[in-house]
Amino acid sequence: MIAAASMDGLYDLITKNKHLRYLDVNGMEYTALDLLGEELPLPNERGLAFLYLDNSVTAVSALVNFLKEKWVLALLSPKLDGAFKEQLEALYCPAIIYDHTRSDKSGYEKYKWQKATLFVSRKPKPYLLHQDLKILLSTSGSTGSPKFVKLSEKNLIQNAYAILDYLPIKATDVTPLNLPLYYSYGLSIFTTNAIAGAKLVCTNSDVMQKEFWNEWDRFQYTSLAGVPYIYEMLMRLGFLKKQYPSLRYLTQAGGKLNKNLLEQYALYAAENGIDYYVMYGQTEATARMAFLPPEKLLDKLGAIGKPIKNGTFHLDEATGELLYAGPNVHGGYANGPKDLAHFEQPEYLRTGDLAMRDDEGFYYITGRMKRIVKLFGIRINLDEIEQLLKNNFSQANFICLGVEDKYIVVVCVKHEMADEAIKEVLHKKVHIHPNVLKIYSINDVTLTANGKIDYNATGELLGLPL
Amino acid sequence: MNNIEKLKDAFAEGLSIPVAAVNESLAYQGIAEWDSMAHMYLITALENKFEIAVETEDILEMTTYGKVCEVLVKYNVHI
Repeated sequence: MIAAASMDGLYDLITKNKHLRYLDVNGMEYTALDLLGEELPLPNERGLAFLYLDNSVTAVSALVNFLKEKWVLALLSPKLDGAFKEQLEALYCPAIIYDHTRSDKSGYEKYKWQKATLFVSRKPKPYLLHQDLKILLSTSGSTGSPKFVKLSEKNLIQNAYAILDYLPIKATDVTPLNLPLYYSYGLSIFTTNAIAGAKLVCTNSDVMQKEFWNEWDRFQYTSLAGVPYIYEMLMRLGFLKKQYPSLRYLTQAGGKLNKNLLEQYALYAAENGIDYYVMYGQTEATARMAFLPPEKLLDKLGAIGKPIKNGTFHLDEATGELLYAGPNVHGGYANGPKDLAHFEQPEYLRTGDLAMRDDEGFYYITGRMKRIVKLFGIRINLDEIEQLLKNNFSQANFICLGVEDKYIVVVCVKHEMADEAIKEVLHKKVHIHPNVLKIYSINDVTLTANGKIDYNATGELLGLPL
Repeated sequence: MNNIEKLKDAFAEGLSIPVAAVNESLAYQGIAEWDSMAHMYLITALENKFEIAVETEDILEMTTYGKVCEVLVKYNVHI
């Protein structure tokens, strides 16, 4: 279908799309050229920039302008806790920071650029950045881990074209940027539509706000993207009771939507001539690994579909783990600046998901290898949560369990403490809402034969549907 | 428990903030705690406390403390 000229960077591909317009919520339209203009105050030819991006035109403009340069860009949430931002910046020493939520940053010079303020380091520390490295994304979104997934420009471009191979993105589309740009799924909506779409509406409103629906009426969106909890909210808002003449397709990724809800969406989509795409991916695969063709949705309800173009799945014979190979597989993780000197793509991406393949080649996720729950589209590592609690309450021990990606169970071992204290720490530090927490206390830990915590037995003891 | 106390409890529970932090200046996306997810919990908390079923269009209306009070009147809940 659409093929990338091999020499073009993402910025070139975006700029070549003559249909592309960035719209602010007032309907002001900007072309790619409108967003250019003032040069970025780059202290070096190459370096590391931290971009705390919301979905305003100003933020999108910063992203596009930085993409033009050879810089490495860490995309982050502006809503991150202030202390955590400082910690992360002390570790990585970015030479430039874009963050509209702060007015000062010690050790950095303020620089007015377009409508934004940039912080430019007074003494940028030189360190090695691998030539392929382009984007750093966090896997956990808002949970404040300094771990990044390393992605190259080629990763981004290859994944965008594989997505364009199946999603019906057109040069007449009007697409809301309703997912964060620092989230791999949100970034993929930006890259694919910037390459082949038309109007990108840069908005910070969400489906829970009247403004979002006013914008829908005004701009006549042709698609909408969401993680499962967005589709749950849409259901509560009576989305399926109305019709949307401009809407051509919906996409859903970031976890498994409840089958019953999915079926209701599938039936609605079929009745209204809308394509509903269930997709599967991970930040480690830039965004996308698989999709289910909409015409197969009811037939293969609950499947993640088949691999995207140029991607392949294998099942690990010993464990049943789903392995993915393709040009969009990441170049490793960064836990600190030293890791930015390397970029090594593994032969296979170990997804950590257990899967099965049916006789027609469709894949289904059946479980997980690691102790991870996915809440609101965000991966939460239960071992990390245990450690975080231990660090905050050194006198106690904790066991964390996940139940069906619906809630997290925290078991306090041999220690009496207020549920509120646990809830407060998890809400403040890792943005886990107390409504998805259940807290128990027990006196004895069941261990496995080799002396590790027996999570299954603990779950059974508490009568949890694990 | 009177209605103001119930309302403050519902806010505290839905947004996961202390009751003491519930005040008339609260607004959707005005504090980090009142995000889209917490909004659903707030609606559920209001429904439970006042034994009502909030209509779809009202969910989108309840974007500030004051507007929540206004909408509740429709359900015969007077703050």
